[in-house]
Amino acid sequence: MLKKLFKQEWKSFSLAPTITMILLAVFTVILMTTFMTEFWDQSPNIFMEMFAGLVILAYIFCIAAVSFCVTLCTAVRFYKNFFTDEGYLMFTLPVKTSDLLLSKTFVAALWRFISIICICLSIFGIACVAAAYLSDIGIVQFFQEFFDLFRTAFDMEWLRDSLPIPVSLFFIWLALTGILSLFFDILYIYTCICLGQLFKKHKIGGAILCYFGLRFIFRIFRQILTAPLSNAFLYYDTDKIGTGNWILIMFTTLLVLGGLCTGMYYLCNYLMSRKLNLE
Amino acid sequence: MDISKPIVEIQGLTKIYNGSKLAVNQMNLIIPRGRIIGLLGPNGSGKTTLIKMINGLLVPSGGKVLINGEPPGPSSKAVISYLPERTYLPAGMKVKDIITFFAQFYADFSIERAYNMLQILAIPPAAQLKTLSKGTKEKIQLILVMSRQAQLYILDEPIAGVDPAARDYILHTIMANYDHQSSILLSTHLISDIESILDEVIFIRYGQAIMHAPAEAVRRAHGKSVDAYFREVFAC
Repeated sequence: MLKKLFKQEWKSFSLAPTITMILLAVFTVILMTTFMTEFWDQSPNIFMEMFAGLVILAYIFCIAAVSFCVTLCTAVRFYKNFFTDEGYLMFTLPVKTSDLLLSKTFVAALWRFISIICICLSIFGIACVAAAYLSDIGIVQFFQEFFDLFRTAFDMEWLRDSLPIPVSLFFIWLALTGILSLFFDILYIYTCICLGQLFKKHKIGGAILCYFGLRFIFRIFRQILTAPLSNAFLYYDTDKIGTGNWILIMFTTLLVLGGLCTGMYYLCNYLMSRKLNLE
Repeated sequence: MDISKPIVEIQGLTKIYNGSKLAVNQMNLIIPRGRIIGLLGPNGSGKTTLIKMINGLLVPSGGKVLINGEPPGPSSKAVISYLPERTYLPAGMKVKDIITFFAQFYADFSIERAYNMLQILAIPPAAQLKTLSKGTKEKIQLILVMSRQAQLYILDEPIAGVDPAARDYILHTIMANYDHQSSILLSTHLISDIESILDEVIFIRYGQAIMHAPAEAVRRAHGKSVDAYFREVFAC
């Protein structure tokens, strides 16, 4: 059933993010073409500079739209599917509430991941073409130099020297933190919407209130948790942050993020199955 | 599943909204198998609240609902076909998409039967749900519900918003498509239209079942139709 729910959710979720990503791709190709055809050099004047400024602004808006669209779809689809009339369809399906929640969470996380990759590729593509164009070297040569630099960066002694832990471990931690952060963002939205349903009136207002209220609480919690280490980070000193401390920091981060994700998931599941009141 | 047991058992069921409004009050009820039962009561008597609790859409404040001996959950949802009093179809879908959706999730759903009913009602399968009228959407919902081979059909006001001709078709659809081993729980105000098909009636007032009897017994005992008796009992 989870597979069927996932398939259905993927199909329903895809439309709006796909459109915004196609728009971003088109914009990226156009911008890259303008650099490759030396469009900006043809008649340099004040209007051309203004036009260039507007194009960059529009591109930034496009990137923001992709990110915002996925977040908006995540929130709207969750609310609409479960807490409006569509809830009569979803909650009468012969599936567990946890499956409903899992399918929504995984699809939203996957789309968020895809949107991040698309944004990074877009920025990277434009940056490469622009850099090649500005430095007056060919695009092929630019990529060769870039990848050489990239390879060298990971072989550099300083990276190994500065980290008191194996570099591979650091990157594994980075990847895990990134994945958990994706789920955290989504489950945070879901939790706020579920908590909003506990309000007698103005349930959407309640959800927004929970969004900012919980954010404030989490911020204070983070400050308290990181305060003892902030000085050591501020005045970076490998003697102060030894291998043990590094591993402790990494483990704590994963534990806290993982714990929050699990807690929010179970809270949503509890509220959706034990406190459901579709009026 | 023990077929000698009733399909639904309700014991001391209570629902209080917002901590003060009592909608269902210590209700005890048994819904047997193979019967068409009218759930009858004035507005605000607790019919829809009771139906939602059977379907797991509302969490009871007290008491319990058992379907085939189990509380509402995936197994009960697999055997109940529920028609709510509101339109729940996602606007972005096409008629054929929602039929595929039902076929994917309900093992007892018959695609053939659904398309057959669509054809009779001249509803194009490729139509977008958002382009259809409220009445047509209600007919689609009824098609979806009656295309299942469920053990219990719960129909909340199925004929309230449709014209008399469609009303006849709906009643015909219900009668023609349900398996006689199954039960139908039918909530409505329009008793005269459905009285002829009812085996049993349940009268609800102030969230309590004040009467549960065979329709024929009510007619014989009071010398009048169930509709006339309902008007007498619930006279304002």
